[in-house]
Formats: sequence, structure tokens, C-alpha cells
Amino acid sequence: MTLHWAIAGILAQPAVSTAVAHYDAAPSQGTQTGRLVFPPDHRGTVTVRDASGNAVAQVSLGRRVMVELPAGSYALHDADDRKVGELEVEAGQVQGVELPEAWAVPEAEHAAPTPVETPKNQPAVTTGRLGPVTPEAEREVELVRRRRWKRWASPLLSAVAPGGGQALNGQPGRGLAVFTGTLGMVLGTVALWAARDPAEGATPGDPGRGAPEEVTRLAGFTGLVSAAGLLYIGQILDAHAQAVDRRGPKPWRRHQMAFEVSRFTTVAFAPGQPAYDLYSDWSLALMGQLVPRVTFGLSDASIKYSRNRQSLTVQAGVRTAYRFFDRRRVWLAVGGGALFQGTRADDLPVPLAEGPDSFATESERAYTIVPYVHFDARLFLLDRWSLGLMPRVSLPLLPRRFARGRVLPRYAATFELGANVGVYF
Amino acid sequence: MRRCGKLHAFALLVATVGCALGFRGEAPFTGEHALDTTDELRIELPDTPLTVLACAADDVEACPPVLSYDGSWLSVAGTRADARDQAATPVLRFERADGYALLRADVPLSVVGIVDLEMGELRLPDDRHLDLRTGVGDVSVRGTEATVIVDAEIGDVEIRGADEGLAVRTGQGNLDVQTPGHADLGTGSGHVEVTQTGAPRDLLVSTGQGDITVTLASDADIDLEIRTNGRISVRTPSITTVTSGQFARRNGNGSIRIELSSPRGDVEVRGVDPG
Repeated sequence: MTLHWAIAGILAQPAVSTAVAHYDAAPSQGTQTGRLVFPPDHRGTVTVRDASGNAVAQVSLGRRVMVELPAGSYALHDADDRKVGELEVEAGQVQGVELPEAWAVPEAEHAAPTPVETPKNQPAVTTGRLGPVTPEAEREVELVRRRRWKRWASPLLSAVAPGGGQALNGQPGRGLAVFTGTLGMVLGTVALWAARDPAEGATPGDPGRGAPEEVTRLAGFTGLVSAAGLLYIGQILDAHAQAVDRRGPKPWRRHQMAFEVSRFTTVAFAPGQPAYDLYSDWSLALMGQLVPRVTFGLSDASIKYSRNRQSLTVQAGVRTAYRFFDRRRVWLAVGGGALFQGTRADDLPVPLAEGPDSFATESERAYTIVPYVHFDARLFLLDRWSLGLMPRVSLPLLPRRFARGRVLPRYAATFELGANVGVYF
Repeated sequence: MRRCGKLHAFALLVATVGCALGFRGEAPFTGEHALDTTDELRIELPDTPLTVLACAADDVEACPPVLSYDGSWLSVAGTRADARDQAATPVLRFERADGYALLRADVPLSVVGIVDLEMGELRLPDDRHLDLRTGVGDVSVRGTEATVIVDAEIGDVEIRGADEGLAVRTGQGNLDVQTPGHADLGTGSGHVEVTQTGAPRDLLVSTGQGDITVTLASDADIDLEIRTNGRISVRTPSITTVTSGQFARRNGNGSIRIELSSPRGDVEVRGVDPG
């Protein structure tokens, strides 16, 4: 197989042709680029134009060709400069180019190939500096050809059977490790959940389970829940990443928006028995990157319902963060914010008789503000997907409500650990 | 009041999933309410054990017609002063109308979730009908001659008395009953032990998971039906069997209905005097 490797972005001295008169988006070092693979079984010439209409590459078909371009939108034009297709180049991705069927070489010609229009000593890509045909590049092209369907089959399989996608990608050891780890965490979570005593506090005078034992159980339980959740989502993303391209991800630093799903938990004291309880809080965040490294947006959005007084709590907040470290696939940030809660509790039952000692039966409302500071560590598994840990210290100025009717009192300084999944646009 | 937890527990928490710092508070209380015109009393409280001790109503000197109780509210708070104030915020309210009385908790939304009720013993005359409702908490009733109804989410139930009739429902917990009255007993999960201490009466028992042990006052005129996937053992003066699945027997005119059901668990029936 003949492979021609073109780096369209480096055109300081066009070595072959002057077909491309101008190139606006020359990728500099660190620019996000993606790769296009043109199939070998088509004939003709294709010009690739960027969003501004500038020709960035001209490809003579007839052999497998790979072109590297900055991420963005491009159009394919035929020899008469008619547009025949559009495509999107994503950073770090390798994708095959689908060409019109009419351009396909008939089967008969496969059997008796005709000479390729482009002389073999000429490059297939007439624009751009051609590099050597590296074994890595050849493998990547093969990967594109073989694995197109696995891009979705692998993560789907991993979603159903953790580790299955990795096995499908030809990484059985990795798949087995993921499966074993997930299974162990799930079994551990179930065991710790089953070790609870639902009747604790029911018996008068029962001191209940010792604090260290219960705290350890709750901490282990919530830690395993978060870890299992992150591992589960992470292995799905990993299956997709491995099916597409085994190079490491390039985090999307220039993103404008990020959508995050978070679970914050803490183990803290509770009134009566059991003396300690688990406080957890699922929430959504939509963060915008105002300037490089600085994010600001809506955070901690959630709704909680409690059977106790049939209360409904609506929560949202604002958060800002500064990213002080972003090397390879790891981002670290610090920041702060505040979440706001409004709670409405239903009316109490009607009193038996009206009188000065009767219940106040009308519905009640309560509000709170919880300022906090946080540290944010994120690991990217795909260019636009990250898993993260977000420890934070908060101070509720009024009682703060969590899921399942749990409440922490005001001024109770709280250390929480958050786990989140983020996607970047 | 004491600091939240111990040092090593906090160290573990901080190292793993976090914690909250604060104080605990407690506010004891007592209550006494006249029951002169009250025939039926409902006690409807949040999670708390309920222990009811009934005294002989015909001895007015020793057993005045009042409901008396004690207990305490427990709280958690971020400051010492808050812990004290919040424990004192909720109250128990007693309401009365047309021979019916109700004792329930008034917990403002501002302290919901950060206070907990611990009831002590409740004392009242034995001729008042009782309706007890709580969340998580064992229930114990002793000495009541009137009817008793118990509805708890989680907790063991112990009844001694309820001569005029008894109904018990709990989501999870064992039932231990000795009553001369008819009884309808159900638990989602737990063992049930019933002894009929008076004349033969109707008895309906069901448990989602657990054994049932019944001591009948008499097996004359009973309409007995037992359903379980476990072992069935019956030994009364006129019935002796061991089987499984389903068992039914009608003695005499069958006017006393005995129904025992446990999908998973053994059922044992015996007479007061098996000999």
C-alpha cells in the first residue's frame, strides 16, 4: 500500500505546486489539528477549501492519502471547482472522507488496475510539504479503515458490560482490569449499603453503632459510589477514545462553554440516632470561559424533594474558577462561588379545633446562601470530556438542604468532596 | 453539648469524603394533658420510640385521667447557642375535640432535619382507645384495655393488653403480642409471636419475611388457614400436623377465623395447653 502523508499547515515553501495561492490557517505549534483520510478506490482530484474559501489542499485520488488540517469546517470541490461535500475536522481525530460514488473505480478496474494519473514519483497531495511515510501513520490509516463502526460499538458495549469495549478494541487486559475494578467497587458498595442498620435509633436507650464504625462505613460507601461512577463513565469514554485514536487527548482549551454533572458528598453529624449521616447533592453546572483560563457560570443547579413536610427545594448558584495548570490531559483550578436554595414546605394538617394553641397550617418557605471555595482537578479522556474531583469548603449561612431530606445547620463549616463529569463546547 | 466526633474520625473524614463541624444540643420537656372528655387518643409523632404504660382507670387516685409524658429534643448546629436554641424550637401540641384528642409535633421548617425527638414514657388510663403512629421507632404498649392501633415505618412492636382489639402494621420489625382481643397484625419483614390470653378471638397475621408463632386460646370452632413456603407445624388439642405450602382446617362451627401468612418463613401454631 502506498501512503502519502501531507501536512497542509506547514507551507513555508510549497515544495510541489502553487495551486494554493494563500493559506490563512497555518497551524503553529500547539494548534489543534485533525486528519483526513482519502480512500484509494476513487479517481479524480479534490480540492479542500476552508471556511473562508481558501484552498488548503489539493488531493489526487487513486491511492490512500492522509491530510492534516487545523480543526474547523471545510468543503470539498471537484476539478471543476464544484462543491461536492462538506466535512468537519475535529482536533485529534482521524476520519475517513466519503466521496461521491460516481468517482469510485469500477470493480473491473480493481482487477486490472489502470495506471494512476499521478506519476508514482509525484506526491498525491499537490499542496503542502510531504513528509515520510511513517509506520505510525500507516497504522492510523488502517485504524480508520478497520474501526469506524467501533467508535460507537465500543462505548456502547462498555456501557452494557464494563470493559467490553476495551476488549472489542483489542485490549483484553485493559478490559479485564476495568471489569474487575468496576465489579469490585460495585460489590463493595452493595456490601457497605447492606451493612447499614435501618432500625438504628428505633430502640429506646440504644446507643447505636459506634461513631468510628459508622463514619467509616459511610465514608467507604460514598467513596466507592463516586469511584465506581467515575470508573464506569471513564471506561465508556476510554472505549471510544481507543476506538478512534490511541493518541492521548488534547483538552479543548479554547472551549466557550462546559456542561458538568456533579455529585457532592460529605459525612457529618446528625441529630439523635444514627449520630452520623451521609449528605449528598447531585447538581448541574453550565460554565463559560470568559477569557482563557477563567470560567464563570451557573452552577449547583438541582431540585430536591423530601417527604418530610412534603418540601421542595430549588437550588442554583454561581461559580468562578481560574485554571492555573493545564498540561497534557490534566487541568487544575481553584475558585469559589455561592449556591442559593429556596424551599417550600406544604401546609400542615388542619388542626382539630381553632384556638391559640393550634398549628400554623400555612405553607412555609426558607432560603439559604452557601458560599464556598474549591479546588478542581480534571482528567481528560477525550478532547471534550473530562472526569474530575472537586473538594470544597462551604459555610451555610442558613440551614442547607441535601437530598433525601438531610439538612446541615447554619454556620456548620463543611468539607465536601465532589466528583464530576464535564463536556466542553 | 460536645464537639462533633473524635479526632481520628475527623481525620478519616477529611482524608476521604469530608465532614461538617458543629455542636449538639438537647432540650428536655414534660407534658400533661387532661383526658376527661377524651375517649380516643391519637399520638402521631416523627421518628421516635413510643412506650405507653396504661394504668387502671377505675382507680382515679392512682390513675388520674391525664396523659403525661416526658422526652427531649436533640439538635445539631453550627454554634453552641444555635444548638441550644434549635433544640428548644419544636414543640408537642395536644388538641382535643369531641371525645377525640391528638398529640403531634410542630416542627418549623427552619429546624426540620436538624432536630430529633426522643420520647420517654407516655402514661394514661387504660380505657382510652389508642392510635399510635411514628416513623422509625419501637412501640411498646402495656396494660391497655381499650383498642390499640399501631402504625410504624420501622420498629419492633410489643403489645401487652389491647383487650378490645388490636391492629398493628410496621414496615420492618418483629411483633410480640399477648392479647385477649382480636388482632390484625402485619409486618413487611420480621418475626411474629402472638399469644391469645383470653377467650378465642379472630387472628390475622401476615409477614413478608419471617416466622410466625401463634398460641391459640382454643382450637374449638376455628377456621384455620395457613399459607407459607416454609414449614407448617400445628399442634393443638384437635389438630396435629406438619406440612408446607398451604394448610386449612375448620373445627366446630368455624366462627373464629385464624389466618396466618408468610411467603418465606415457618409457621407454628399451638394451643395454650398442648397437652
